[in-house]
Amino acid sequence: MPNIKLQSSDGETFEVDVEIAKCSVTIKTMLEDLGMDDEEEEVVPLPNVNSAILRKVIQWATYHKDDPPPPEDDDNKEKRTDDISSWDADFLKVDQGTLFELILAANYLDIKGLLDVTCKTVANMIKGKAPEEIRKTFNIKNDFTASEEEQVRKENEWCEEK
Amino acid sequence: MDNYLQNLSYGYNTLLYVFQYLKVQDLLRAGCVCTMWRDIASHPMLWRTVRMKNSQVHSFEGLANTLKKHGTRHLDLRKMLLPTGGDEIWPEFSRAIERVDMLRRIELCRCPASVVEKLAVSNPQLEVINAVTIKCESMDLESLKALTHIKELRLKSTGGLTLTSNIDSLKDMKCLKHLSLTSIRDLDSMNLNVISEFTNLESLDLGECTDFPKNFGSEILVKLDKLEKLRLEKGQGNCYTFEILEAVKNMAHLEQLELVNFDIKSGFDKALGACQNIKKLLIIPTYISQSATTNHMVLGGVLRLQKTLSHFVWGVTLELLRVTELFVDQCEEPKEKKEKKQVGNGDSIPVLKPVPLLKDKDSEIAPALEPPQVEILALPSLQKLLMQNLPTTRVKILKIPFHATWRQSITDSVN
Repeated sequence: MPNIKLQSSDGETFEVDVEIAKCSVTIKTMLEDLGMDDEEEEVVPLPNVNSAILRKVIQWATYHKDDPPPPEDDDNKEKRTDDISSWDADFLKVDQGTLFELILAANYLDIKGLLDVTCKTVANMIKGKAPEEIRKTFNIKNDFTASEEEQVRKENEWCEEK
Repeated sequence: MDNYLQNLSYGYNTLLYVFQYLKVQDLLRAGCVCTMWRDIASHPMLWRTVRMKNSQVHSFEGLANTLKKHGTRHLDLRKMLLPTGGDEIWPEFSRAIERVDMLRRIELCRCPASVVEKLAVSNPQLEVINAVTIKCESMDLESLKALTHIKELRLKSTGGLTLTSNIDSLKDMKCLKHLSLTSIRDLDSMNLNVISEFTNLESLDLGECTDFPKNFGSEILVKLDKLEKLRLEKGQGNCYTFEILEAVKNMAHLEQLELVNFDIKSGFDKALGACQNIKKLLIIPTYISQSATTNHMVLGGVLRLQKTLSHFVWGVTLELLRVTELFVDQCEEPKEKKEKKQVGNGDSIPVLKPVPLLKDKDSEIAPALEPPQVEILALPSLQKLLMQNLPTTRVKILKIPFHATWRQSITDSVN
């Protein structure tokens, strides 16, 4: 398999199997549009991803290289968050900063599988928590005025999970 | 700061993406976190479909306000938690849901028939109503006349439903594509001719089909020339099954057939074998008597569809397996008890000899011997036989108690 070089925002280059790099739709499109062929020693610059995150993304993509393409989103199906594989769960045991940088990278590189699993992980951090607990978890400031807060509380208290 | 706005936009989209994984309660709580979360949690995309599974509603007024505010199109109440005790919640539900005039599709949880009747009048814009866990014994279809936009209607009661009006009330539902009326008692005495007017139907489920008249096949089914899926339940007594199959074989678009708790009479094998248009087939025969003949007929029929079937599901009841086991036990000599495990383990069915087989490509399937003799066929052997003879078909044998037969369908079984 031919390799290509990816360059992170802080200037580090990573040599990766082309097929693995192509799990990123952004990189795949770049290679096709620019007609970069395998002979040349081209370097693909990724100015939005730093080396620590790029290393994680490549690690993820390498592990998942033989996965079937993720299914198209189906509005008729309930979205699940309890189907994260144990490898992914371990891989995503990282601090919140890294988790959100991974999401940004998955967004920018357009890697649906990674975006799905990172967003599910965040969703699991929200589920079952009261608003105040959510604020604590993500360090969010409550910027409601007293009357606004009273209004959303009222509007949203018609239902309860058992 | 170069990427500030781009990252902001990624952040917005990410949060929206994350919120898609939240259930209603979590989404409501997320909306109380801060103003940005409130605004993102109000995105219409997140509210197009609202599912209430495992949730309990304290205030249907509150539910209706939320649905109306966000323009919800689809409300799914299946497996919603209901307060123990009475049906006192339903009047409040009926009053509240009336205001949600954007609603196009609803799946109801276990509720009295009156909830469906009122819903039809209060929300005539509905296009889909699924009410398959009605808990009443009787229902009046008269109020359903209001549903002139309806495309999909499914009615079923958990304990059998007697209709107090004729199904003529449905006759103005010109847009119907999917109709499912099952668990209906004495459906044969209704004016079934109405069904022949639903010429846009793509799927049709009917039950109970006991004593279904001769013209159901020849004059009603044949008119439904867009029909792709047909499910018929409880074809017993004088149900004209052969006339139904005669119609089925000529229906150009029909590809899926489910016969649940149908009496299988002699000649069924040839009649089914003529339905070369059927690609997906589910059969759960009634095993009341003559089970060996029944199985011989099913097997003979299915083998005739060797070239066309992509999916075949055969439902065998646990009751049949038990009776077969008893039969085998009785036949055995005491000294042979050691070998008993081989067949008498409740995993075999009787089939009239010779067991239908396709040896060569065009060989005829041999008729049953005279006088009849029964072979006890273990299910793994049956599965193997089917897979060898139907190499391009996905075969599944279901082992189910009789009471669960009604819940089986091809979609559930092969996915």
